[in-house]
Amino acid sequence: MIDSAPSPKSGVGQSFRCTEALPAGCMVSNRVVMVALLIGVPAVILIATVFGSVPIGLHDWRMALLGEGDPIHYEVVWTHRLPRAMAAFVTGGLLALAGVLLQTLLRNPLADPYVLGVSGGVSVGGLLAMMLGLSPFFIGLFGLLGAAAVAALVIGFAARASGWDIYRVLLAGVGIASACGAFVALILTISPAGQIQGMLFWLMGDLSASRDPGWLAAILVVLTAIAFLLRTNLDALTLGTVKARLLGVAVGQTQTLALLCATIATVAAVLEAGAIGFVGIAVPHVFRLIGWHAHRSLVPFSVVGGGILLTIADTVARTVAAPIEIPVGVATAVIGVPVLLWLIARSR
Amino acid sequence: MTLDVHQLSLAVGARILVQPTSWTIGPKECWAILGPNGAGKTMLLHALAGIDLAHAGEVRLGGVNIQTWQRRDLAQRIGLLLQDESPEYWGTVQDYVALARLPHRGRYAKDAAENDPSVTASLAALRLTDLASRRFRTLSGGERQRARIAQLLAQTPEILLLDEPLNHLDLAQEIHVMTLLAAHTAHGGSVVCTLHDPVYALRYCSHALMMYDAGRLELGPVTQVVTRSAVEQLYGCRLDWPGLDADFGPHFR
Repeated sequence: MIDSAPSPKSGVGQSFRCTEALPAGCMVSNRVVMVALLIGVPAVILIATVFGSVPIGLHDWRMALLGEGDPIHYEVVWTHRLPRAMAAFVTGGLLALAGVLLQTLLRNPLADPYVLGVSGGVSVGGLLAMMLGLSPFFIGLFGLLGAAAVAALVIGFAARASGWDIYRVLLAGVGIASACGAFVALILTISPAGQIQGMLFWLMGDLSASRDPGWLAAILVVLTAIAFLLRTNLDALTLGTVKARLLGVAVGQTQTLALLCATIATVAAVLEAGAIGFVGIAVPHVFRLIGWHAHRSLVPFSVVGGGILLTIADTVARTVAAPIEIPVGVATAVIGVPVLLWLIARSR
Repeated sequence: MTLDVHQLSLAVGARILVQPTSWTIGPKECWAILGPNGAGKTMLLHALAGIDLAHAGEVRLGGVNIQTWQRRDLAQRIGLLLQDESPEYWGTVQDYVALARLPHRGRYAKDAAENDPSVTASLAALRLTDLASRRFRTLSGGERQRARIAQLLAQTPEILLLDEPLNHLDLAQEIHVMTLLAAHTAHGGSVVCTLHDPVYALRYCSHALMMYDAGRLELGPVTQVVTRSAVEQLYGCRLDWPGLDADFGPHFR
């Protein structure tokens, strides 16, 4: 099972590299994954604009894309579906990026974007604004303030002069997240019955309100670039902070930057779409399971893979029971969980 | 390069592990650190590597306080094998060993260091070539220990600090690793390792440092320091082992 003829350079000239660790299959080469992802991005975004509650035939869709034909179709494709598909893609990318960074920083495979507790802060802030009857702008603002408050609390507990105590980040985050959960329950209990459905809808998270994913995309690009620049330091951090220091890594700086990126990515994703689970925890593992653990591949692959997963899930969510939308988190799990379980089963 | 230990002292709370002591670890020297469990061997090694600040005095490398060195420059010259590490690593053995090239790579160098000659060489030195493409987490305890030592060697530091390098190894691998360390010193490098078997210290090391109660250190050439009576006093037990008799020592050398 071990390579009989060692490849001179990994991934060059060979599409597949067999390792004993993956007896059921082979490590898919960098190039194959890259091509698949690069084709996948425009493909899923385009496919997402075909489907929806307003049926548009393939011919009409093509005309609409080109800016011809029925103006209603043009309107639906260009101002509703395309921005929403882009928002889904960017949100998925942000969640997966936060997942990669936190799993590495906390050295915990179960870490996801919500372990920091910032999404709980967004929920509490947003619900408070709704309870006070404020406008959507203030709901977003209060959400942001809630996230900032939680982040400040977690940092206050975990930042030490000598560097980050990463276990305190985890414990403080989990503790504050459950406190936020309790607050959310309290607000839901004391709110008037008329407001509760709107609150629940907002809490569950969906992408239907997404109109302008531009700022979100800019954030994703910047954060991904920072994470990519940190790639070798992140690789070293998988050995633990002491070993990373011994290998010459500025551990404190790397942790601070990566935590900051993960926090911003999570807050941006939660403000855009609510707390969508599964993407952040599962997408990085999918790539690790097919052999991509080094951050030079793991970071970009996860960002794109998370984006593709959430775009497909959102398309399914708003199509299967149209005109009713099922929560995107349900679709994410239905699509993602079987893939993850299959990969776990075939790797040893 | 020479590691100068200047009036170093270590303490945990009120317990003194090392009383102020000065000594020098030079090229071509292999130092064994001996002492009972909890004597502070690990802390001492960490202090020598410059990652433990809880001490007075200083450690100087090339005449410069180790704390003022850039970590990256230091990593090119001093490597430390930790006593215990998590087996959680997703990549292959080769990927794992290649991480040691980090301090040597330029900022814009190509990322993959898997084919670096020192990676290949240290895999071969630890007899891991056949396991190179296995996943690190599937290794046995002894194989993992060898991969960790291979990682340290691939870092190519002049000064090797090793915290219990013989953990989990079988007898043949123990001897093999000690031979590798002796070869490193023979080529002009320095080695400091914690050991539990004084016979290995006598056979492979040039110097020894024994950590007694209350932070008292005995150090010097191994045949002068590691005597039967000293070892009996160090561990607080009587030994019936001819290998430790002073007049038997030369047979091991």
